[in-house]
Amino acid sequence: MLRADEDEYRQFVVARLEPLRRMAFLLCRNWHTADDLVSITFGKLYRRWGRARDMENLDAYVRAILTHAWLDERRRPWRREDATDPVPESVAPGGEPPDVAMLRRLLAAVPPRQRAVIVLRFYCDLSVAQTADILGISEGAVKSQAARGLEALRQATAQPVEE
Amino acid sequence: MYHDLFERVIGDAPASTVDIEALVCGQRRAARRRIAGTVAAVVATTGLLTAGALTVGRPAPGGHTPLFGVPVASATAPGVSVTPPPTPGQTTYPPFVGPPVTEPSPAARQRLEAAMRHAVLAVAPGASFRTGNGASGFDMRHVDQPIAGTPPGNIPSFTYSGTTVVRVAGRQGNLTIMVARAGPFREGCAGVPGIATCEPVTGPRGETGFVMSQVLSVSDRPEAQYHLWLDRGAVDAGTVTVDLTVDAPAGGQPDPPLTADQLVHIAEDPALTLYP
Repeated sequence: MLRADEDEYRQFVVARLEPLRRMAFLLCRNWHTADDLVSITFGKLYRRWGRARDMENLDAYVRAILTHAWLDERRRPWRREDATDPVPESVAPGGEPPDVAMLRRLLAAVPPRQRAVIVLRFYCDLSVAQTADILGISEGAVKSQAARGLEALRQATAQPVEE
Repeated sequence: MYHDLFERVIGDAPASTVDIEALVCGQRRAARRRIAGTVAAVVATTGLLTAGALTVGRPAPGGHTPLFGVPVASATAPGVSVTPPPTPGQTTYPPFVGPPVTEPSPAARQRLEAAMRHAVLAVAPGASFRTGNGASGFDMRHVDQPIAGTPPGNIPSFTYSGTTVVRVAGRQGNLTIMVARAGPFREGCAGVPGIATCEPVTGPRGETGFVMSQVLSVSDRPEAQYHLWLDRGAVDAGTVTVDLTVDAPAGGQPDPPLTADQLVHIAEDPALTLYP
């Protein structure tokens, strides 16, 4: 990679580091794993920077790399056991707010691909089509997998929700 | 709409352990290992290749010899990364032998930018180029200072490269033309991982080289990347390299905008020289 390209790459990853860490944390719910996923993502992006830098929606491309890195990690035997602490069913008085607890519980309960749908749709604010494209599934599958998350979010925020 | 709620679930993030500088250095090393391993394998088999080399006929520009006509026997399955070859131990490389370039770099850059566009249009008159790179369509880079100890695969001194996206009849690919001094250009392709096709080339002025297609890497998504490069060695003490990268659609085959013969003609264009 040419020096100028490397500088361009460095500027990009520095700017995207924290947002991607936060997205990765929602997926894996572990900061150490989140940092690993971001490192894997940036490594892959480095190798493809020559083509990737001119992409129309580079952020979506990077999110796709991160999501697939996490799904791949989940397939590894040593990752199959969830390393995060169990989420309590009830919230102790003085603990985290009910809406936060509900979302945390939701993320803990759903399988990986459905969690990815929820994060991409409702945290990254991607469309159904964009989410389907990243995950390589149909738009119908995205809608059905997002339904439970949508209901939980509606309950948590007690606000009307638009599909 | 729910972004704030998600942010509250995330809470305060601890300090990141992602070291970007270490990551960049690691990727640089990995790239060097891949290139060095590839070149070492080529150097080791040059003798065998020279003995068995054959001359490829040169049809007229615009010919339609399939670029990827040979089935990709060694293509990696989707979802599997290509493992970098091991780093060679004591391999030595020939030095760059072309004389220093005396033409001022701004003039050379401008001249070669126009020459690259002309060379492509000469073989593909209907070609269009990526916009946004100036009038020529090529994104030009150059190195005009001597660099001591330049290893093969890295950008050597006095190198001018132009990159663009070329479109011909609805097909497109990433095209890079590099003009450099003569040096440790590749002399074959046996042993290079992922080779699908390889043909030696002899030009009308005694140029020699190889045109090949290669699988470089496969991402974690069902896609395949095909790569082709052509080296023309020892022409007026210079080397011209042409790379064409074509992405294959999911489940499909790459449909390159230029044929192998057209790439040969581009590389043989007399205007692509450091010594006009």
